Amino acid sequence: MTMISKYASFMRINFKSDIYYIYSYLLSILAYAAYPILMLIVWSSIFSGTTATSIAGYSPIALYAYFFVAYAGASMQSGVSEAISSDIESGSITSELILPISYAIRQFIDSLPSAFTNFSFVFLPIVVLTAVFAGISMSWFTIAAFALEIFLLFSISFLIEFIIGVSSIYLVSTGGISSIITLLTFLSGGVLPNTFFPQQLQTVLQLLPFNAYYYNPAATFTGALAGTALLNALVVESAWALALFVFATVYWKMSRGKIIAVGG
Amino acid sequence: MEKNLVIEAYKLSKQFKSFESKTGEKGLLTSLRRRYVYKKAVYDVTFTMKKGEFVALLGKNGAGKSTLVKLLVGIIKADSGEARLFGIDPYSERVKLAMNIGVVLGAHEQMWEDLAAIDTFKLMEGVYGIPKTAFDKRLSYFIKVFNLEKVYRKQVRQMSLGERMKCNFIASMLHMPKLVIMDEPTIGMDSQSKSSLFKALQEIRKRYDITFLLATNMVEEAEELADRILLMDEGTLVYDGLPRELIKLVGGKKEVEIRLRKGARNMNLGRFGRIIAHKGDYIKLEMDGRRIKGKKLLDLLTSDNVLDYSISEPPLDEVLNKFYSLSRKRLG
Repeated sequence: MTMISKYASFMRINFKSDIYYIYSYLLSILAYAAYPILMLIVWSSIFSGTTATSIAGYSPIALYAYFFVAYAGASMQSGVSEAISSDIESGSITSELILPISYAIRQFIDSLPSAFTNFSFVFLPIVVLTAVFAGISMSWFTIAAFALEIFLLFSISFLIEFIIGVSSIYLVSTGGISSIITLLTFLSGGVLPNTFFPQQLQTVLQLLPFNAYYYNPAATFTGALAGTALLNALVVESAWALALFVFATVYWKMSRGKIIAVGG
Repeated sequence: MEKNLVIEAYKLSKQFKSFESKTGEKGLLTSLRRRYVYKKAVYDVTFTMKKGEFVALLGKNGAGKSTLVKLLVGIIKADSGEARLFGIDPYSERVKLAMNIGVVLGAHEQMWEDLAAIDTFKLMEGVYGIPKTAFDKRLSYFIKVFNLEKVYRKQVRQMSLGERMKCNFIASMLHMPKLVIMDEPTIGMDSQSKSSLFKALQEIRKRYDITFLLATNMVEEAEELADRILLMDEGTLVYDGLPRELIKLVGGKKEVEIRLRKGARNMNLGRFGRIIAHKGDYIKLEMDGRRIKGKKLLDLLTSDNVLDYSISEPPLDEVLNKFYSLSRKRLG
């Protein structure tokens, strides 16, 4: 028996279980669309009240394209911390740990079907339509960098979420940490492209892993992030992905035995 | 390691830290500074289990049974001591051990509620790498023995508690583990479902050479199923032996009913115990369990004056309560 077939069984049953909640999934896709549409309305009225043709280097079209792609990217973020916290707090993690599988790998595998569905039915259509309507053309190098950024976006968000989830072993609630991470990701291109911020803040944000969530992929798509800056961003993201992977592995190994599961 | 041993636990201990909250206004203010308390959930537990045994791990709620189960299956790590199941260290080799054991947790089901039971069984086929023909054969046997023919294709959410628990047993045994560990598997089940579950377990035990460890607070479950009892109280193992021996140790009261032959002479039965009923040739005696095999009594029961007799054991929970109070007194 290969390790792959072991986890493939989980992927299959997960997919089947997700289909059971198909209506809830379709509604969540609609929710993804709400934010960029709101941004479109806000920035249309800002541009209509000014004679400027661009703000912080962004034309109206480039800005709309930025927000649509940033929020398409949001569909590729992992939300695994909630499931892990709930497993730990309710004690249902025990029924996972009696199986001959790695809990961490299982969580990763569990995230794949929805990531694949979101990529096919949310991310890709929005990106292609935005590219067509905004008239964006990308070189093969930029397309490759963009694809790598989407992979890193999924990996970094999964690892951060995994670490937050595992922290439930020590903390009563991880809601506070999740809120701080959400705030940091919003500051990293979720509300405004980073070029709207002071240079010092931009430098700090470039060194943190949160640019991977919104700014880096969306700015690469619009061409605002290119050349050496793009390469630097990819190096920083890759280094973070590796560091988070090592930390998450050690942290889980250290913490697993400390689970206090329900029952005496 | 002795070849025949399935479980070896040596001086296993596990302590949990939790914080204590105070009540009232003062407690509200001081709760920001947490005061931690430590509880020895399992302390210095040593025992072994042989292949083919059915052992009941008995104890009240909070006695440490579930913690001991979690230590044995590698979910949590012991603070000190060690355990080996089939020679495997449960914590560091959890995945390897999981291939050899089946675990049923009454409080945490492994069935996928939104899907049919068969979907979870198919998941186990993949997770344990069970060959298709073996899987089909085993599944049809278990479905039959647990009497689930009509429901196993139904959504788990729509099943009764008893049916769901039986499905959990199937999910835990499809890979034919050599050892099945159960933690309160009958929690919330009615007596009819329980007895049908026990019947199935006994049938499986007869057919396959599976060793069972059952953690329960239900004395009657231990009495009905187990060959041996491990009794836990406040984290420690206070008894390891046969149910009958426990009764003897505590000296629980036994009732002896005697039917005398007509015209039997007065035999001064009061010297053997308290006479609690006497009507014509029928006498009921209550006596100390430790003295039941006294030679004089045996001579009496087998004498010509006695037409028939029966000895009934005291209920095990009565024995346990007495045992707990005795062992606490002994510990001071």
